[in-house]
Amino acid sequence: MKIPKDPEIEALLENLKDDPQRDPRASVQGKAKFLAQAHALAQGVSPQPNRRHTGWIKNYFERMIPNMKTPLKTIAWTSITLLAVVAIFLATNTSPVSAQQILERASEAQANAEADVGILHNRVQIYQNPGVVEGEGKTTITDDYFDYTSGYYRSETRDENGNLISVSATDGTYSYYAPAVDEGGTTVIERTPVENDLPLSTGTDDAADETSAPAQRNSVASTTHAAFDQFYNNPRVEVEEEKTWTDGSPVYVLVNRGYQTQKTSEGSNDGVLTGTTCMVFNKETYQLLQIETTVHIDDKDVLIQKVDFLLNETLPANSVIVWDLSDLENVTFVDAPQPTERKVITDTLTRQELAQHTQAYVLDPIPAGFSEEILAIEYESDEAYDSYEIHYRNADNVSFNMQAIGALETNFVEENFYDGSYKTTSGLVLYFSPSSSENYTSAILAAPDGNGFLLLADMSREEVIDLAETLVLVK
Amino acid sequence: MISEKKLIKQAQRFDEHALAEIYDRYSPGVFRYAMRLLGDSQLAEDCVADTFFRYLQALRSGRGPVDYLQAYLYRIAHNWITDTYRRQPPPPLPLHDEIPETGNDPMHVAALSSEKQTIRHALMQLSTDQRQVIVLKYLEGWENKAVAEILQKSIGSVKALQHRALLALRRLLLSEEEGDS
Repeated sequence: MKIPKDPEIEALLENLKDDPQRDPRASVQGKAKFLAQAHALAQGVSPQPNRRHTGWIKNYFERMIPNMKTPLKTIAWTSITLLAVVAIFLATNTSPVSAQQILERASEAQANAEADVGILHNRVQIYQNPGVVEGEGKTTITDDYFDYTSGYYRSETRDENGNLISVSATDGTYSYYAPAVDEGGTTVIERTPVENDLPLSTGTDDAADETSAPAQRNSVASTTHAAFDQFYNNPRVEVEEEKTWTDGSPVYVLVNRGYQTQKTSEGSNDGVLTGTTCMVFNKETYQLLQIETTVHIDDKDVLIQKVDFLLNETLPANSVIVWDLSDLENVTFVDAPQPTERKVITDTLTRQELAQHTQAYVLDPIPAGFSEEILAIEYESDEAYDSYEIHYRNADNVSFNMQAIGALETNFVEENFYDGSYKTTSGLVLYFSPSSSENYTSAILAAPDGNGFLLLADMSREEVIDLAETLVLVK
Repeated sequence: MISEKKLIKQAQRFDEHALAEIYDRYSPGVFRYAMRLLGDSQLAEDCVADTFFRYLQALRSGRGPVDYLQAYLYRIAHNWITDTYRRQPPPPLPLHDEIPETGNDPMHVAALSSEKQTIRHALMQLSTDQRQVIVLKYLEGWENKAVAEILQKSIGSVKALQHRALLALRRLLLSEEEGDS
């Protein structure tokens, strides 16, 4: 079909084609607001279908790191997701010879095991030892249900004695969420209407199928595959010798040993073991059985977290699951409060202005070809905290970014940024996230005074280490 | 540059770095698009903010696009603009007899501003799909294939929409003028 030209109309339309200038300040503030909203939503996220395999993660964060800043939570969540997503892997192949091959076959198996109908049921037992005291710690058990057809979801976590700790669900009409059971034994469950998230304009049919169940499954699959890819591409994951599981079946153990390295006076890297994360797979089925994280302190390995994947099954589609939580006793349903939108104010600072406010680190010298931008961020809300970000960016849009996140909680980096660490000659420590890749590094920079900085860079780990050696306290 | 598909995957996990990259990459285009249709920088910024917030809401619920993120964001922005016009339509303005020459003459600047408002108003009287085709093709310079992806229609349908939209614009913008002459 050839469209006849209409020069007159096209000439009129040309009037609208001049490039409108955008106020740079409005742009920066818009971005800061967007990221703040992302932090808020990630923090207050209601359990949804794409979290169905990782319900324990949410509980983990709520109990373990309640005071961490939201950006850090988000990144850490991502890190832990890498471990959780493989919980549903099943396979029949054998004879792997490397960690990558094991993970690759598990990934293929996962794709084969994806069901179209029925109700997925996972049971996960989690031991956590936040105090890093040998022999102490608590254990919880989480049951997750997910209906492949309707997208309905239910997750509940109980302690070793069967007492309810937290619960969440969606029945298609409402999302339910109870972050914690109060000591009086009554659970308050917040209820939020399930919205059609695609902003359809009245009278239009744009993208009407975005909210369909297949689209949700598609999203779930892409999420899990992306997370798995990151773990698979981690060259630091190794296979330990073959072992036998508690039930007598042969298993593979994949190990990620974390070392803290430091440049010696001769220029070589000297490494000290800081901790270990192990993943145990069934040798025949490739089912993930366990993830265990230990820290190495005073020549001893202290267990700080262990996740046992106890059950993974698909129930018949007509199985009765109470999605609206009406079977629970001693619960009260309330409407969830509307999320408050936080205003964000950003100011560009000089190094001198930054130094007047806080102890901060900057790259000195600024790397060749890079520009430096220091932003002060003020969040206007009840939970306000002030922060600042330092951005370095070159003409190719390669960036090195740091955001102040405040005091680091005990044990946080060991559990979530456990993929090795590096100590600079000035005493700063970089704790690397396993979600890093060849050209992207995510890490926590820990300062000697206990404060942390979230570091994100479009660079390899080695490049980040080199730059970290040039970080100095701003004056 | 990191691929869009990879960005989308990372954004689904609320990866801050990916979300920041998405904002840097797509917000200028969404702003330009909104500005051309709304003619008001504050409204255009509001449109950008709401577009990206709705994207976050979609991510939160485990939805949102798995590909064609740019198209998805433009679609949100377009719906936002359409609703804005529905809530508060601008007063109809007469088309000037002649398109003013460029220059800094205040009279010319004012006339050009009115001209733009008239064209925007005419655009808003098109159907949603017709308007998107015209804006994306003539103002944003998109190919038919990309427009088809946004509208989730065939390329043939896009061409048909374009044809009808041009006829409608001629009727809205030039018929009175032609009738006068």
